Amino acid sequence: MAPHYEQTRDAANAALLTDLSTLLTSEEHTDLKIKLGDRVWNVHKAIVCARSDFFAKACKGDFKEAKDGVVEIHDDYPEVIDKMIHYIYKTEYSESDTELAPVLFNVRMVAAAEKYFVKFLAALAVSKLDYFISNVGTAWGSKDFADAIAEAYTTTHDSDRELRDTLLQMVVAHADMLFRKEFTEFAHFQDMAAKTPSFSAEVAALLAKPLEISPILNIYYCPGDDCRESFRSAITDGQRVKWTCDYCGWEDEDDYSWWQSYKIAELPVVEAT
Amino acid sequence: MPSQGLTTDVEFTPVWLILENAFTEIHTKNASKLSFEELYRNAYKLVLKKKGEELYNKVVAFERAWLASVRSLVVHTLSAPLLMGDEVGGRTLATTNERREAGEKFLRCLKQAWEEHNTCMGMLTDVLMYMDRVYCTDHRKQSIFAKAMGVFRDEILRTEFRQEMPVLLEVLRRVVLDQIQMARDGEAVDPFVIKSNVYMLEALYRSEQEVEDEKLYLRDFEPDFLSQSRDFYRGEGERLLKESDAGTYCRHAKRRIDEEGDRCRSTLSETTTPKIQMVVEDELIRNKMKGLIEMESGVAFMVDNDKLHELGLVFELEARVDPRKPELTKAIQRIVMEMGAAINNAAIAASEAAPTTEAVAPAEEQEEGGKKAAPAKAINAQTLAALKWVAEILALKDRFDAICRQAFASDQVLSTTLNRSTADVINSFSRSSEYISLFIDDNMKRGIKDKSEAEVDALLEKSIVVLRYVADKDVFETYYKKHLCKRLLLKKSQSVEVEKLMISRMKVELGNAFTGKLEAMFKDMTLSEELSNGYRKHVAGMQRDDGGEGGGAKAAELSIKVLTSMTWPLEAFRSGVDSEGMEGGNGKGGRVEILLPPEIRRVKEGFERFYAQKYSGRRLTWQNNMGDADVKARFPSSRHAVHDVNCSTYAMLILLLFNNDDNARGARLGGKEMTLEEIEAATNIPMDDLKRNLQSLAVAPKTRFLVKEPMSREINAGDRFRWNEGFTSKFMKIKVGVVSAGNKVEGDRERRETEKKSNDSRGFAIEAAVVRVMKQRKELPHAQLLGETITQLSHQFRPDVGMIKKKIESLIEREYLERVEEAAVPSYRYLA
Repeated sequence: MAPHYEQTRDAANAALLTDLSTLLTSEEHTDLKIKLGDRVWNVHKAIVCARSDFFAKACKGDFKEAKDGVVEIHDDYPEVIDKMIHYIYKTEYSESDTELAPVLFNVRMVAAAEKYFVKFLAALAVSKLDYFISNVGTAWGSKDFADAIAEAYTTTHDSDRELRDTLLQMVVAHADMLFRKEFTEFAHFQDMAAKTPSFSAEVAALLAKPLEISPILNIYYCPGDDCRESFRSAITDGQRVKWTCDYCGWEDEDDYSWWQSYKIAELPVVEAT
Repeated sequence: MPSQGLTTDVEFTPVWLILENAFTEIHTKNASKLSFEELYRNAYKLVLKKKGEELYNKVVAFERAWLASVRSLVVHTLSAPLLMGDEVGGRTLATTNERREAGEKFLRCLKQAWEEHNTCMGMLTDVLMYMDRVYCTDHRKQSIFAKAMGVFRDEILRTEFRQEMPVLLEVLRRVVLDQIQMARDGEAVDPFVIKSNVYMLEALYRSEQEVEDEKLYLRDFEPDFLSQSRDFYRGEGERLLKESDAGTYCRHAKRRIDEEGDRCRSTLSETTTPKIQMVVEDELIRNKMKGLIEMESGVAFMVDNDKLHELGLVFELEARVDPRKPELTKAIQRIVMEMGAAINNAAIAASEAAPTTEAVAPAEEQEEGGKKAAPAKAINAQTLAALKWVAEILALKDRFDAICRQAFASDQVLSTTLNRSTADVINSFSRSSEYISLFIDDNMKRGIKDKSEAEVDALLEKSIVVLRYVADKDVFETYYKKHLCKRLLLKKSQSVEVEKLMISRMKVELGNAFTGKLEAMFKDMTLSEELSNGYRKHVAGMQRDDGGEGGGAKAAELSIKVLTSMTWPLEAFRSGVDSEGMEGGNGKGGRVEILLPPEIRRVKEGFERFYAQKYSGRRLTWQNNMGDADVKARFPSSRHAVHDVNCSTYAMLILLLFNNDDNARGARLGGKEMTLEEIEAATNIPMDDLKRNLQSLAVAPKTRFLVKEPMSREINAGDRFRWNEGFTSKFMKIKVGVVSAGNKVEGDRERRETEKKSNDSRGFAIEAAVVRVMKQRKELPHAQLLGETITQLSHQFRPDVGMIKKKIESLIEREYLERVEEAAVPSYRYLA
């Protein structure tokens, strides 16, 4: 049983979330309109600005938006913006009622989250995406998956590794199928890969990885007095290594250059994974 | 689907043109018609399409161009008074007012440029948020805001705007320094506009790395400010030292320090406060303190004129810069020493000026300070000099205590200095111990008469205060004992209670060892009282038993004081002139016994028997020279039938020679004549005492009981004496003056003896200390033995090293110690 005050606190947190959702649906006290094409959302500056740096900047200072109380946005998908606003109020959104495939939808959500600087939204979208493609066995082979990759590599920034790694992991796992020309059902994917060189390059790099030469494992001997026990270590410059001798009990940690005085031999070994 | 071409590429130039236009609007304060979203979206697009670097560079270039135009606006405000020549030349060519206004105009313009730049860059940063967060972060570029600040620094402050002219940063520095100088000269300058410019210098860094201590303010302004201030205050300090008095200087320095602190707060930066105050403290205080203190109106003048407030200022100033206050301490020490020396010299002069009846002592006189020996008989003047000396020393101490309390906040360092200086003054005066004892003596005899308890208490306290400083407590003890002895035996003390109070004070201050002998003296007095009473009862009892035989009118009464030998400095009673050898407590050997007439001898023997009953094994030595007697005398011509004569024991013995039981009734003694030599033979009174007593009895007009032949003042060998039948006096009670009574300043002979005695007792004390130390340590190097011995003795006196060495030698001779031959440093070993 959780302590009483924790129960109280959890209940209060839940109530806060409920109240915030009510605010969104009731549109009471709204003081800002977000427009996209013909869609309009009536929202609360205080909430939206607290959750998104874009809206915070738009609503302050001397720009038109601050004066008019309207932020008109462009280039976005209304259903994505709608869910983003839901998230802003509820810390959660559901993509089940959208027409778009979940892969594509969540990639777009990541893009919107990055554009409008909504805290934690990108991470949530990536994990939803990951969940979907990992649990729906055929997702990787779908056309939507290919489209999602294309959008991910053009509408989010390069340094967003989370999204890219999630997608790449799936691609690498099925690379033998996806890239095989004779499997025409993946022609759409192959076409996308050809048009999205930054993606293809990353796939190639990943596929080449098992071929990498393993780090050099040198043999070092125990620095303990009169102890000739030896061990292997891949320590490189800039690293520190701690070692405990099973034989004499000697134990210490030091850096690469220190260990070099105890080096016996260099033995390059290629190990297959 | 409104798919927005985000997946497709964008062309840079058209998008940039939109942004550039908008940026111009922002810089010209027309932002309100711009859509933030539009600008943000366009910048976002460019960055997303990997044109971040291009965008970044374009923005920087835009700002650079914009600020170049701002620079010319700022340069435009530079008017003639600011541009004329260099720092030195420019000054003279324009009036202060012109320069001040021109400076303010420039500062205001620069302030505005800075503030607008900040505002605009704030907005640009908002618009370019995506670029900052994605492009700048990924490519480790400075944020656009920081970059733009650097551009401001380079374009506005560091770009040469005209040949042969300094850059604006340099102009700014000169103008601000000039404005501050005006403020120091009393001009009203606008602190806010300067402060705004300082904010700018504090916000800008020398390089892109933005290292905290590389701020323009710290590197390009503050050092110049400090060095200019240093020059200014150095000059001002020197000028003030010449032109004004010390009090004014102090006030000015304090004001300047506060002013600079305020200026940092209002006009510059708080971080500069400690630095500039250090500069002012250096130049107005630290480097000038000596000069200030030694000024004509300096500390000596302030002390002389009781300028406590100004002394307080001097103290405060030096306390700021050095907790040890070395200069003030030195000055105060010097002044106290000078004033003390004046008091000491006055005392010496007073004693020398006194009438001289004796030849000045030979030069073998070994008193310090090269003082001449004081004439032994100039006694009264000397006593007065002693009282004056103590009073003046007390006044000196009180005065500086008051200064220390009121002006120096009872500062620890200065109190210590004062105490040390006072001690030095007192100890540099060789007669201090004697004078202090005399001071107490005088107060005990006269001073405390009719005084309230509180006043008496204050007097005692004063004595202790001075006494506390005396280093050679043993010398003081010698004098005090001597003086106390006379007070007690001659009943000169006003109050035994106060005497005891004094002793208990000394006990607290100097310890039991010091007062032990003094207390023993009081004990003797009490015991003697009891003895006298007991003896009186004893005699009364005997008379009853004897039925009056042998007693009657002739039974003399006896009041006795039994004094423990060694405790009492009985030599104090020796007359100053060559008397009979050592006549101390039990110095009986070689002395001739005084011959007593039978009636007196009976009393003496009676008491000796009585005493022997009470205490066995004790020997009484009679100090006849110190006694006095009440005698009833009849003079036929006098109007009183019987006179009560009080005289010394010796005088009584002399008088009794001329008494004759057979002729007592008729007092027809006229015929009996005795020569001086006959009297001496009949009494055995030492010649010197005899002469003095005869002087009282045969020369002093009021007590001329004897007639001397030939009639003259001096008593000479062969003089003849007989009963003065014609004596007459209107008083019934006659007191025969006793020569050599009160406590006076010592003559040089006495002094030499006192000194010799104290040297002897010091010798014993040193030997005892050396033996104590060695017994404990067994073996000790020479230096360490000296040190420990000095420490042990320091509460009694300052031991002379030479004397300690001599004593060690003598201990070695007597085989208490031996030299350790094999030791690396000279060492001794204790021989049990």
